[in-house]
Amino acid sequence: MKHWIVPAVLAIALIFTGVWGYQQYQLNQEYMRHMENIYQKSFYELVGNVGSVESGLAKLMVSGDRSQHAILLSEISRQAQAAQMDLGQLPVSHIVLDKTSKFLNQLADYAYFLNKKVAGGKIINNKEMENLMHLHENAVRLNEELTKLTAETLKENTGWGELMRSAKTSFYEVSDDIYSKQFVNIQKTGIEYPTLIYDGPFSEALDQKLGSLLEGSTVTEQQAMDIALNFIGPDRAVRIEKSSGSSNGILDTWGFQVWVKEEPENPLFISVSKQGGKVVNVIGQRKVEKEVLTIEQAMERAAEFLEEKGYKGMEGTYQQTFDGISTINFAYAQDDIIFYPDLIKVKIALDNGRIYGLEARNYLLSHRERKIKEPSLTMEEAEKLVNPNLEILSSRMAVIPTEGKRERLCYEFKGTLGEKRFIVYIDANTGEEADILQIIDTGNGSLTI
Amino acid sequence: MEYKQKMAVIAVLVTLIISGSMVFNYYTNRSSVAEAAVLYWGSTGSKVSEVQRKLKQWGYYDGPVDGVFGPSTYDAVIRFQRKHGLKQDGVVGPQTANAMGIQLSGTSAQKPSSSGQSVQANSNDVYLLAAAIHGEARGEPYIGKVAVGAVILNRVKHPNFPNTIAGVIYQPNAFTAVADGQINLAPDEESIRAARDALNGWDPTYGAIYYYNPAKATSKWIWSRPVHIVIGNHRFAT
Repeated sequence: MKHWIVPAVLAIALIFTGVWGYQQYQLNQEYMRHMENIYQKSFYELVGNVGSVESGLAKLMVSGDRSQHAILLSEISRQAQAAQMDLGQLPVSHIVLDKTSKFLNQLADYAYFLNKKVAGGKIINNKEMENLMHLHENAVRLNEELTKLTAETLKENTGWGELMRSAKTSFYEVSDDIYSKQFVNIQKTGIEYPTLIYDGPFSEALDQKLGSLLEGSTVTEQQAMDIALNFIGPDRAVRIEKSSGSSNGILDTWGFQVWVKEEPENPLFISVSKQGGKVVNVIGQRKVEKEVLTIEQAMERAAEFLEEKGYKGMEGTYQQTFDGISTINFAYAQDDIIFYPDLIKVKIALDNGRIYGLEARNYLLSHRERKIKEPSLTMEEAEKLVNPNLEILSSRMAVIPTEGKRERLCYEFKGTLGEKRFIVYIDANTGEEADILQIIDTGNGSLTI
Repeated sequence: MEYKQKMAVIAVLVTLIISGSMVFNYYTNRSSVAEAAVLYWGSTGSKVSEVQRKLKQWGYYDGPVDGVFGPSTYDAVIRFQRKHGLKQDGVVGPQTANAMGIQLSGTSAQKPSSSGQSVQANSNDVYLLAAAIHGEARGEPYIGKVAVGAVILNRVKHPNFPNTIAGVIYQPNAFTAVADGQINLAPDEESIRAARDALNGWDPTYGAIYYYNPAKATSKWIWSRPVHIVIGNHRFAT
């Protein structure tokens, strides 16, 4: 063997690796720059949007013109929402962002709520003006802090890439980079405003126990186990084991796993409320090989099942079927009024007609004897308020849940416009159009008309 | 002398193997995982029939429903796409299928999913949620998977977090499976079922917005959160 071969091959390999490595390095730099630019853009947009929100709120304080109010509110809502989206894109731990995020979300939501109010011909009252003032103070502070942060990062030339490199691996830990520090600072000192209760998705309205089903005596774990076993059926259940229960303050449960005959591998998880001993949910799965039942038959079975478990007066409203499993929604109906907040979902397999899922939390929390006052509008009057182009197929009275978890008495009109199907809800007292739903037929689900 | 030569040859080989495997690794890592099914000229099968049936129903197509994607089906698809403002390429991809209201990947009744990797999702949300569940909670019991899906959806509804499923899942530093790329694995059937249950409102955590593995989590902050329920290896908290 000639003595130069070995070093030559080594040299070639070294050069090859070196060139490749350099290319990788360049590519890496390119990606890093690209990421950094995206983060930088989100950050600048955040600063810009918060600035606009702040000035929008300031203008709102001095404006006395209602049409101007509507324009400003819709702008504030839009920009706060955009700012919240920008915030969600920053590579900073969400722990240090949560209050800022909540502030922007609620501001967007609250402005939207007020805008609807103003558009409906009402004015912003004193209490709401006060809330807006507090929100404005917070916006001013947030704006100041963000401006300071921008200046500091420019001075020290700290890029987001730097931050990515030094990022902690644990997601629940706060890094000590300048951005995180500043956001922690904002969280600590900046954001404080009164609890906002209004009708919107991010309102502070909490889950409430409205009904009395989850009251009464407390059941022991042993009693709960019997309830669970009975619910599944003693001849279907093979084995039952305790599992961890849960607690969230308003609804505490005992948890069990139940193995059933036909599914030896996949136990059903079942939870029973500690107060009142009601089955809150059942979660299970099944692979359906061959569908035997039709969806109509499945709905009938599910309705029978609920009846058998003591849920009377439940009406099937909607179903979805995937892979041989139907999920059917039932709502409580009484005196021809349907109560959508009293909702129970049942999952049933189309091969053996057995139940693999139940979700009764909504029903258990909200079901109660309701006294429905005579509405100020009649069905005929309400029907005149529906867009005349909608061809109405059916109508009834319905109580629907609002975004802020309240209830609203409405007339429900189902109809078609061209080939599209819609459901329109008209408030039975104010005549407002409370909601419009379009029924999109995906081939997997359908509403029962 | 011989010994030295041997050592040299070994050194060369080792160098080559190392540099070679680095390059190899780099290129193999780039291959993507799941690709969406599409229908185009020449496709056959029950999905094509479904497309033909829909197009016929709406008057775009007047040929036979034979399950063969030929010229007349192609023309009909183009007409449908023009009418609906879609890209007119004569290919039934995810967007066109969505506009037609059909699922491209079919239901398991027609296609026994022996592959285990076959994916059925009625919408992008189900798929994305299932992928996140699969990445985060593989090996957890079924209820643990539903719970992870529920936490993601609880975050969407919660003011402290982004307001879309994609926003929550891809929020930087929020989920390990997103950070290490496991979210790109094709979800299995169980994850898809769990995603559907979560989307349908099953929430075994009763409103939890965090979860962590007590064996791995070192952050003091997370340990201070009130725990709702423990499922498998995860604690679910708010």
